[in-house]
Amino acid sequence: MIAVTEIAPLVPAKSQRTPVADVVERDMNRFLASVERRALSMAEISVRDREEALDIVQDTMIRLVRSYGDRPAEDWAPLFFRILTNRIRDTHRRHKVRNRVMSWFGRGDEDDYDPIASAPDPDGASPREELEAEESHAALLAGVAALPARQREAFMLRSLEGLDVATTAKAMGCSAGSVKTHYSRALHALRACLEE
Amino acid sequence: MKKHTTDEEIVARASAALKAKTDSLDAATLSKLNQARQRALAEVENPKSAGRYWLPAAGATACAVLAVALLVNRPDTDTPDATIVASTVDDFEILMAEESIDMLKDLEFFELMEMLEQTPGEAETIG
Repeated sequence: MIAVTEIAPLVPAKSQRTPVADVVERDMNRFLASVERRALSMAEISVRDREEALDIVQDTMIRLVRSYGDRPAEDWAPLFFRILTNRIRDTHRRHKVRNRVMSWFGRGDEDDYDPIASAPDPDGASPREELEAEESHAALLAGVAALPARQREAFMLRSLEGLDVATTAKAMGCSAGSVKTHYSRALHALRACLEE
Repeated sequence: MKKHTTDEEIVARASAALKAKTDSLDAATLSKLNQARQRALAEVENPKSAGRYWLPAAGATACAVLAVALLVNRPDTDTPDATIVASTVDDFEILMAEESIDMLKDLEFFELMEMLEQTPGEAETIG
């Protein structure tokens, strides 16, 4: 029987790595370090679980490097956030299925996400100011978390990440017009949330 | 009188809230992020390994199938055992099936790559 599974490695050993690979690693490291915290925040707001959010970010990083490490660096940002939003969406689908199964057994959604508890603790403020800031941040984050998925994606990519409309469209896999629509609706919903 | 919040105020407050959340990440979480990044960077040595393997694997599989066909059709008395040939063909089918699944997974991103090369505004979301 002919063995077809023993394929010689296509990639040279580390000692034989090319200077190009070193440059890619350096640039990719810089890029990932610049986005990882915000990516984690985005994922955590969406899935409401830090460990799950960490898994999502790690999977996204690996996927980007493995599949698109040889793309121009200016493509990394839209690709990274495209992969991230897809992974978040996959996680939501799994949650839906799980919750459906749990409901069959008489157990509902056991979401114990507490936006107040997860709100940041600002420094250098009086207790009253701290409380007001906490409540304000918590209310806003809860509002963002409650947005429909596409509106939340558009809002976070545009306002948190500062991506322009065209880049956001690439990251979301939709047209620029759709981005503007989702973003506008997100703003409308958050305004209503803040003015309550 | 109800205060009307402008779009700029909403964005500014949301940015501040999200920045505060990001800045408040604890050391353990930052360490995990760093570890995740290092695992990803290890892939730089082996870029597109999953994608690059399927071509030679498929090629090798095709050669193997051809070899089996030649063995089966060989006009001599040294006929290979039928069960060995059958199991070998089954193995190839399994291998091809696994590679097909990997290809299907990558199709989504091939579509993304194609979309990136198009003019912005032309592509709609896929899936």
